[in-house]
Amino acid sequence: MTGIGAPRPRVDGPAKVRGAAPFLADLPNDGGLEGRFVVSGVAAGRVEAIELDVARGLPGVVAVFGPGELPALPTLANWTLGQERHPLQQLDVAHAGQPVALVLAETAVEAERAAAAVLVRIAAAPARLGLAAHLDLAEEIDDWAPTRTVTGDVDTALAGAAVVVRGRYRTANRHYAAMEPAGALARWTGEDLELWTSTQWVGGVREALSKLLEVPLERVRVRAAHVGGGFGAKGSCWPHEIFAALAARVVGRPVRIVLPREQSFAAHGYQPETDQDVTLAADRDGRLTAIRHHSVSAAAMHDDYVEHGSLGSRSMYACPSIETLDRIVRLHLPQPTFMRAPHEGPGMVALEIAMDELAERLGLDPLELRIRNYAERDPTSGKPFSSKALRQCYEIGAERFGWARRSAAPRSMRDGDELVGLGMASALMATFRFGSSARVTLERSGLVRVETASHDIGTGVATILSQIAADALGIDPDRVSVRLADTALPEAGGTFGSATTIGVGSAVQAAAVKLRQRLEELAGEPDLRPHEYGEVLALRQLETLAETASWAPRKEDAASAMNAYGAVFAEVRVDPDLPVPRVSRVVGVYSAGRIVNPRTARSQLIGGVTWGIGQALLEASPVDPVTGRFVPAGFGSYRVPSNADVPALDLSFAEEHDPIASPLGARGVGEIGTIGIGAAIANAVYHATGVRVRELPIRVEQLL
Amino acid sequence: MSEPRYLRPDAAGEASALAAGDAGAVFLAGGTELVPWLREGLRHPTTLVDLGRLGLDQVEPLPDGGLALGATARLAAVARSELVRARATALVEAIESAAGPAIRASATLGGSLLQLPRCPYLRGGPPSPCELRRAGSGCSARTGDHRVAAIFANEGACVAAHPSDPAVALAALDAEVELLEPAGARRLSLDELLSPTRPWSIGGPLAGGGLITRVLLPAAHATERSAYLKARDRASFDFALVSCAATATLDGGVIRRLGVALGGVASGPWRCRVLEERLRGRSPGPGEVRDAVDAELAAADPLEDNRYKVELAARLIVRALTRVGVS
Repeated sequence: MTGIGAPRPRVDGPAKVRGAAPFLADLPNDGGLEGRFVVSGVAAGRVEAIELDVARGLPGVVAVFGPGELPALPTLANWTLGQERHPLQQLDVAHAGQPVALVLAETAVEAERAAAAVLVRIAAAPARLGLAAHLDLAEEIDDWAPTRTVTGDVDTALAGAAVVVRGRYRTANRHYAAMEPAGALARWTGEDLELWTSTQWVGGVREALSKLLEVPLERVRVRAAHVGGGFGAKGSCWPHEIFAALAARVVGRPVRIVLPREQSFAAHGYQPETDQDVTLAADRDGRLTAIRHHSVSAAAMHDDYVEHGSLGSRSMYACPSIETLDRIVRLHLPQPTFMRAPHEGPGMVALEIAMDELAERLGLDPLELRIRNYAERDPTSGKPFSSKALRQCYEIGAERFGWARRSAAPRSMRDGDELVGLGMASALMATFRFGSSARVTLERSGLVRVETASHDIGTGVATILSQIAADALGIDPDRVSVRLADTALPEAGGTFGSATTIGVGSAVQAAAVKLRQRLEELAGEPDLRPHEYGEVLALRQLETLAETASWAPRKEDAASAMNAYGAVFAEVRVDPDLPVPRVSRVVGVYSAGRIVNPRTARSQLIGGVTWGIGQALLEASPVDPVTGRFVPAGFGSYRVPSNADVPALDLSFAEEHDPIASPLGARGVGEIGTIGIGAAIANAVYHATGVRVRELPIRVEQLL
Repeated sequence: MSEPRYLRPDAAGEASALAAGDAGAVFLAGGTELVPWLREGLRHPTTLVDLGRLGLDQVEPLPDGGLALGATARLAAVARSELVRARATALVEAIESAAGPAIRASATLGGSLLQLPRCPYLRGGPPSPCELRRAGSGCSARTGDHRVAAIFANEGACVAAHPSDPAVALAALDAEVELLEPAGARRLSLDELLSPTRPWSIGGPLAGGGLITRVLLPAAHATERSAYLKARDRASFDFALVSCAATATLDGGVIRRLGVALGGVASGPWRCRVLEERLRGRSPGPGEVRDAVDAELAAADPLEDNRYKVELAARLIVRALTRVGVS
């Protein structure tokens, strides 16, 4: 049986391995143009002069648009937009990498050459750069989630506390690193727009383009080919999508813009630097009496994005007094965005290193400290959890890791000449759920088609949807094909927030169940066998039979708090003379509800933990203090882990079923793996070396 | 901006002459460095002279007991060669720590020496102020992110460190580079080819048709122990923050000959002559070694955010010396 719970291999795998799976840049663009942005090399200023005529005269060049030369776009506050400020509409420059011209040419090479021939003179203005230097400018803004929560009385609790630890924790600007760069291809037919784009949310892009270009929603169709990784950066509508559509309308020919890697880091989001102040107080027995978590993240000058670093602290541990605050500092930087895993990804680094420090001050085992503060209800809202198997995660993880063999004192464990450090951390990610719909169609041949405007960004969505439909219909998943990523299909939420299994999976399940019921009605018998489906259609002279169903979060679910959890254990090795830390073992056990496909789910964990190793030890994107540019512009200088940096990973899920989170019993698995690992490694480095580093990544100069 | 013409001569002399007569000519060997140069606009060649047919890819013993390494021998082939493995551990370790297997299978020994800086301001992205890209524009690394920059001879316009691992091992091993120029053949020491105190130039150290044909390992070190150690952020596929190659002849604990070179610290391999001088003829204990290391590094001139490299270099030298039997 390869239905729900089976480790079905990814259905998209063979085509991708063979190179047969088309991505955005592979699509034919007959009669169309290729676009390339010219971007600002400085962070603040005003375009004084721009020389476009040389570029216009180059071979293959069809059009070059400078600032303000394309039609004006309305300003729109809408969460489908990655940023509200559109580039190319003004002379002002507010961040390095801001497009200041767009070149359209017959081929991508011609566009690139012409873009290089555009000379821009920008009168640079003083740029506000550097989060640490501008913490006094931190501001609280209205956002989709509360930026401030207060439970109990932290000040009073602190005054009476037996033990208090306080630390400042910092995480770096980090870039998502999708294999496939973002890009979009726009084609107009009269007043109808068809936009192909590498996206996590065709529906969001459609809504944004409809409003910005003032085209009725039903005249905009947004589709994606295979999407080669998203990680949040393709979760909203970004300028390359808007300007491909706008420019195509102006020139009357299709336009494709594929972002080159060196522009990508500043073009559609990144994870912003954070500066977090965490205070923990506990009684002598290690029971938390107060948590104060104030987080500040870097933001763009004219746009809003809050990295809710304190989000996890609201829910993680039982504590009577919790105060959290998330603020931003506006800088001359590109717009950050949700990056796997937003909020708790950087935020839990701070909380979980602080917990390690508290454990040491109390003389308690770090795992024991977490267990003593295990939250049976959400400490901020007071709600019960929909389901939570974190206790099992701690127990199984500690057993598999051999946590009991850890000796408490730093620098007390060695293997030959190497220092060995063992560290652990909890992981938590708030559960997101988006209403979605799907259509399941049976053909007379017995083949089944699942259709929904969801996406497979490499995570296995098509694979698990085939399993869910097959499971409901009692057929082999090989008989199920899945069509995704097209706004002509039943509407679905964006593929982000680890929400697709919950929302889209539940919709597919509902549609498949409906289809089966309808077949049974048509057949007039309740125990119809799957091999008889085709006969029912033949009997009724139907070529196909389709059912559409929707799923949305129920009102009563709001009575529960929902999170995914994990317990992460890491071992590091450090040469005491040449102290470059290396991760030698990781055990992670996660609580994410029922697992639809253990193979694809585990792959998400592997990717997440690998990325967490990058967060802990490698990834940083400093901003040049003069130009305001991210110093790394590609993978030559932005280091992500190589295979040699990633040991064998022992990653698994606790047995669980969460009927409140979704009818499938599932919560999300996509992002939880990136959380917890960063702090677990930092704590292991401390245990190995005795050096407490509160800033990631941890590199050799901090340990010399 | 026309496509460059592509030539594939059959003889080294022909290749050198072609390049000498064409200011826009660039040699193509493994392509792992040249292709990024073209992508990043660091070179705009009008002619590519492919060295693939010159037969310069052999590793051969020399009559005097030395070893000749062909300039277009792939790094992987050099490290696999039993002749090399038998006598130049430092070079083998340096190559095996360089880039990743795919790059080493294509990149050549000569090309590895002629890499341009891996400075993030030079590579990738819209051009930053960079002295190598445009003289007089200023060095962004000096004022900005210079964590991986040089710590010696930083008074020049560019503060980038040389990225080659093999070059550091070759410097310690007293290797010479055989150069073919229109005027004839000559030999350069590593110091002469890749001076650690000479400023970088975007055109590289060779001009006017100069072609590296072979790298010569002298007979003198054939029986010495040697080692290469490399500190890097990433466990694989990363350039050295600091690296150290060492080779020594000991006679009853007394150092008869010593070669020590540092990578990642200057615009070429930094041969530690002060240290070598102090330790030659000695049978040093740890204290004396550390004193010699400190004397060597007294000349360091680190920038604000790469001072850590001085201590890292000191520890690498000590470790490398231990590996070759000193102290």
